Amino acid sequence: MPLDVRVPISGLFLAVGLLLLGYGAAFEGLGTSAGRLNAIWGGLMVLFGLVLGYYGVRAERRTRVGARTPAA
Amino acid sequence: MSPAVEVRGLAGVDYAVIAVYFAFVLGVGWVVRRTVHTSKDFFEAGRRTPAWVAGLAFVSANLGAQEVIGMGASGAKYGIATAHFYWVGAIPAMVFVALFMMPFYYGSRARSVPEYLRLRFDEKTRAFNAGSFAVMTVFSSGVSMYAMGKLFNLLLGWDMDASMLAAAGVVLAYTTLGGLTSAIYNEVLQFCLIVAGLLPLVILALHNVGGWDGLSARLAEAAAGRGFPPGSYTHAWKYLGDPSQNPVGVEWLGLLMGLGFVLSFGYWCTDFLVVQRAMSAESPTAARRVPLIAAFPKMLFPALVILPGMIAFALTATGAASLIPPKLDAALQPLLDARGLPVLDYDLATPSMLLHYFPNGMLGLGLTALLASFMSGMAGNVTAFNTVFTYDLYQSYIRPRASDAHYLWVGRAATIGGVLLSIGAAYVARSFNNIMDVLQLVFAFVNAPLFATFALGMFWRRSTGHGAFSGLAAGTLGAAVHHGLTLPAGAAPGVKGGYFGLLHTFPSELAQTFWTAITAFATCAVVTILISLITRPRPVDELRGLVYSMTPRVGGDDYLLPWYARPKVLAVIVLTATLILNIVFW
Repeated sequence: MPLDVRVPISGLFLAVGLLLLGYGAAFEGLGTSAGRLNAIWGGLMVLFGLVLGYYGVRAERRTRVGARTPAA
Repeated sequence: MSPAVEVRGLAGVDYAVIAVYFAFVLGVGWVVRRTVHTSKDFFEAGRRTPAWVAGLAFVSANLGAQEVIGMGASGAKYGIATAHFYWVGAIPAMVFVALFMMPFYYGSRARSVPEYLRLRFDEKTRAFNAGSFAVMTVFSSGVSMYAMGKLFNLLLGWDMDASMLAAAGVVLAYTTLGGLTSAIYNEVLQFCLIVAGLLPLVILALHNVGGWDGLSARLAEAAAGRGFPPGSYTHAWKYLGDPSQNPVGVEWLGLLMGLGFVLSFGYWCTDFLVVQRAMSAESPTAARRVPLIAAFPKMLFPALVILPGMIAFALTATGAASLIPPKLDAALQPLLDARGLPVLDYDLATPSMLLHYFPNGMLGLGLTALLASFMSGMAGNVTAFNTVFTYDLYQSYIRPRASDAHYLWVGRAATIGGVLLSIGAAYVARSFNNIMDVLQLVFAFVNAPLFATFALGMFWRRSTGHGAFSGLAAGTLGAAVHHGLTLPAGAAPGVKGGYFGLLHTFPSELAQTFWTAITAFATCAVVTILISLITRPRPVDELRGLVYSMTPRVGGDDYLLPWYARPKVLAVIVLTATLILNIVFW
């Protein structure tokens, strides 16, 4: 496969999560239900993106190392 | 456009979320295009996809707008009985295709379902299936496109035609660039986004109506107002003894045979759109695991896609909120059914819920989830269409011995052609008030007889090519005759049936579709058997690897795998969990 699919998913979740988190906290304000909802869900998306990104990048590195290692 | 729906403007953050999504989707297509060098890369993703990726793509390709918006509409119209599409229909069929059919598809090295039919039967059977499948994918894709155009129109007040073309353009770009690999990558990405966009809606809305108990109480009130028993919208099985006692208007036999057996097995076992994802897996064992991996999220989808529709209906019918607008006639007056109740525009149930519950920001995410479902469904159909067109029509009948580069070019051209045809099909879908109904009708015409052909072809070695072809033609004709002689209650003769006359009226479009499918299946099976018995069978040696009794059993080395990776263990877990869900929502 050309790249580990977890990497773009992680990137998307991080980008969208940060947008929601920032918008909820900075523009709507955490005192409003709309602000809290955006911030909480955005935060969860960021968290998911980080976890997925960690495993995706780790798998990518292993694939690259495997590809460079000559067969025994 | 119904004036009862409030057009809500989006904020900058909503547009930003959509823009980020488009950037990633197109970016994936751009990155993947570097790996597409041959027609095998373009049409089969090089057969190197890990099982879990193919599994999520398998379920996501089916998670089009017709699933998200259509199942929401069906949830509003029929209640929890809509979950039968999953717990009686999809899951058992997915287990069957994993354990019994993937070995044939993968092992025969056929590149498509029609090609398998050529290997098992003959050229004309393949041509018939390729043609009908091409029509079906175009229709399915058109339904997805229509749903999304309607959504843009509802949410943004955009022109429906312009929004359909814009969204189709993005799908066209990434499927043309990266073929099946690009579609699979984006399907997995879209799957995650759909869950992220719809899950908070379900949590918020369910909390708002007082949990399942609160929803049940509201739906009991709504049911009483429509002459149904109080629990008919919240019990999946209890009221299926009598068609007049449940909103689907069907009894358990019609449901089990029409949906549980013919339509579902017909779709999941023979539809190249989903089978193509499993065939892209990296090994035969991985291919068998693909539908089973997909079954785990699939069995939980009713919570994600049906519940929003049920809640929208509960709030609308009890007057708590006007979430599902009525359909309007030419004079902009609400259409009324035979009982004098307004005919609701159920397709708007889920989008209206997004508008009602989500603030800006989250609304952008919810809208993006719907966009993702549209694109994933459309890309699934388009990639299946371009493969069948190129391999089974163009290469077989127009230019058999061209270079691989030429077929790669034709595949990309077919992608463009498929998108253009889908746009035409989108306009046909407008005349139905529930897009899931039109799709099930198309399946009844195409997949139902095809399943009889496959079942007989795989498990009865006496079946012949002449029998299969005659059966398919007769089955499709049988579906047309049944549909042409019946109508759903309250419908006028035309696209909904009754064009040959009127022999019977069904309580709902879904009930009519179930029996159309049963008729198509039975006609195909009987004709295939009769013609096979009077025509010459193929020599047994030619059927090795194509017929169950002539194929070595696979999975003999499954015991070497960890228990959680063994297909049979996964199948038992999936079926047990599904049985429990049926009992819980009995």
